[in-house]
Amino acid sequence: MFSSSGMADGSGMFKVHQTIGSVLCCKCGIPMQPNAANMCVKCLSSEVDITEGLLKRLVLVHCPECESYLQPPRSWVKLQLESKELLTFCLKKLQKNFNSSKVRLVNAEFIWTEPHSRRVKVKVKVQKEVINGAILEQSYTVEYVQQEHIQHVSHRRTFFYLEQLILKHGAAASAIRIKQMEQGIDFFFSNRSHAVKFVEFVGKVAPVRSRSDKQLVSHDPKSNNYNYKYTFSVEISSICREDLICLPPKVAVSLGNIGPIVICTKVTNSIALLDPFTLRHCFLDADQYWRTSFKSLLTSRQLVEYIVLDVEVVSSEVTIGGTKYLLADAQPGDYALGYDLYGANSNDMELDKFKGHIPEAILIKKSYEEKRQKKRGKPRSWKLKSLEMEVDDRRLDQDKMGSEYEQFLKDLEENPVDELLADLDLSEDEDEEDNMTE
Amino acid sequence: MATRLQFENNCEVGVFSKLTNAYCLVAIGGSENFYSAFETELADVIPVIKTSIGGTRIVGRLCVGNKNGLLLPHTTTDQELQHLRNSLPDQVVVQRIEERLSALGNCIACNDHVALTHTDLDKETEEMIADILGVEVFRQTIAGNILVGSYCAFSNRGGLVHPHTSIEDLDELSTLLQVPLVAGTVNRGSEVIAAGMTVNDWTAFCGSDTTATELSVIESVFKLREAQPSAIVDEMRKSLVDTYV
Repeated sequence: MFSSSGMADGSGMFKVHQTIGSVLCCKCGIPMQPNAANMCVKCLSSEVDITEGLLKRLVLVHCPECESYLQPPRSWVKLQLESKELLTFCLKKLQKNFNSSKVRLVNAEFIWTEPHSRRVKVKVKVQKEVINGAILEQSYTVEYVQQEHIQHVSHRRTFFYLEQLILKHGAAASAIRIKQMEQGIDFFFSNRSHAVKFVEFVGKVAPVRSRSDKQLVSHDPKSNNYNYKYTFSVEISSICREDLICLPPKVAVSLGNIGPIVICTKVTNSIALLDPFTLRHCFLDADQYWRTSFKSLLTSRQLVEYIVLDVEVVSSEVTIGGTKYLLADAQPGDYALGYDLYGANSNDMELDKFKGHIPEAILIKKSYEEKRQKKRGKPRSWKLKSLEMEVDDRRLDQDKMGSEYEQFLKDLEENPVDELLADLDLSEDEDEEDNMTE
Repeated sequence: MATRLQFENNCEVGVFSKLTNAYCLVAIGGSENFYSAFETELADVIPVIKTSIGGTRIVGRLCVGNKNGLLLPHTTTDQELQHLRNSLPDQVVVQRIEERLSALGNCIACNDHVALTHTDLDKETEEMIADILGVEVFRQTIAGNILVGSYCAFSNRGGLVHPHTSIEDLDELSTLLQVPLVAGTVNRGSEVIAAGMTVNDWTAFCGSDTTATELSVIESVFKLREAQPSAIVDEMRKSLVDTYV
């Protein structure tokens, strides 16, 4: 019996060698090494599910424009699919969940998914102590749904308008280089004061937020000279004319309980808002806007064509079959563009509170689709000047740019907003001088 | 055959009962179910006695006995002692012992020939066990546990021990006991064998959590399938005849 025994280290006692025997698994009866639960791994995992209570479906807020993910509360990180960094990012979201349910992360790997599916799948292996201290390991799949969230507006009407204003006032005359970037334009100036002047100009014509930074390029300690490179970053508000906005409660209260459903009627250095139910006007200056920096609920891209069937005048409001509506000069039979609030897929918490109190549709403007169709084929008799910009072709979607610009031109044509036209410097199309009379 | 049962929704039936080849002690419960389960199996063979020990119901853990005798802890009241003496067959010696470790059932495991005991038991107690129960006494541990009475259960035909018992320990124990032993569990993986079951030479009672696998291990190691009380009596008679003829 003591053939396999030896001196136990140090103690000087004989210790009999112990061979671990096998017992039958108490559920399925296969021979196995005894463990704390005295159950084989398969039976144990069928008995207890350690992934119970762990999150299996999460949301990643993703911006398709710049391929970045939201790191709450507000920073964005650029991550490639199937990258180590994305895995870390995904697992960070699970960490709290792991800690609260006392499981330990052992391994994680991506399961390949079609990029268009907007799903990121991660296979996660976890360990947890179960019955009598037995440690069970189990793997499960976590599905991350990429929720599309566009940080910047998908169209840039204010931007094109601004371009025209810059041209008209020659604000960028002193720029030495203009370069079109993703979601913006870089202006380079040789002198800081030129740049400051330009920033001030932009601040006068659009609701902007700006910040400045400087970087030391070189310095001469003997003559006490410092050369800095100054950088000004200017952000233009995403609110455009005709946008439908659901105001955050704080803003609504501060503007005298307007809205909260309002329509933006004009964007200059302040934003003009109109409450479609009470027809109250108010202005929000850039400071006030950036304090909360809300986004629009629906933009003019989402306008739907309606046919006006009947107009009923009820005191000061115009109502059509329960649908309140803004156009004062609409006649039955007119086509009008409006927002379909009933079918809109909005993710606004504020709006949900007002469900039932808001109309199903809000009409914004008359539609000129018929006129447009008549005109189709005829070239425009005027054209807009444009800034000479260097374009980085790699990143820009030319088609999209083109269609955005066309949309902007149509807006100019069809909107009888004289101020807008007056602001702009229309130049006659020199190629087509024959049919220019307008 | 082995029977599955519960004591008031508790599967640790070995705690609330003590089964030997000559008698069975059962705790006094709120309902008769537990008692009648024993009664149906054993009534026409051995007496089934309802009792408390020291005012508690954990009779299985407090006393130890076999067909020759019954040892009771010092906490047993005179009334209880008298009740047991009156109820048990005359050939069973009932004795109350002054042992510091009063949970005798946890500290001592025995069949009709051999007893394994806690290593710290008094010398006097050891002598008492040998005298009254008529057994050889070995101070042992089972898989490193000193409470030998809790972690094993054995009859004259076989035994079940703690699942972590090594093969060497198993060999040593079965050499001492002269019965086949197997490492196993009761009550769906419970290691506390004697708390989950109680056994004699022809029947066993297990907690109702005991799985079919565990039950089949128990039935095969204790040889309960072919066992009948009458068969055992016949065997004893045969040996008697052998001796006397």
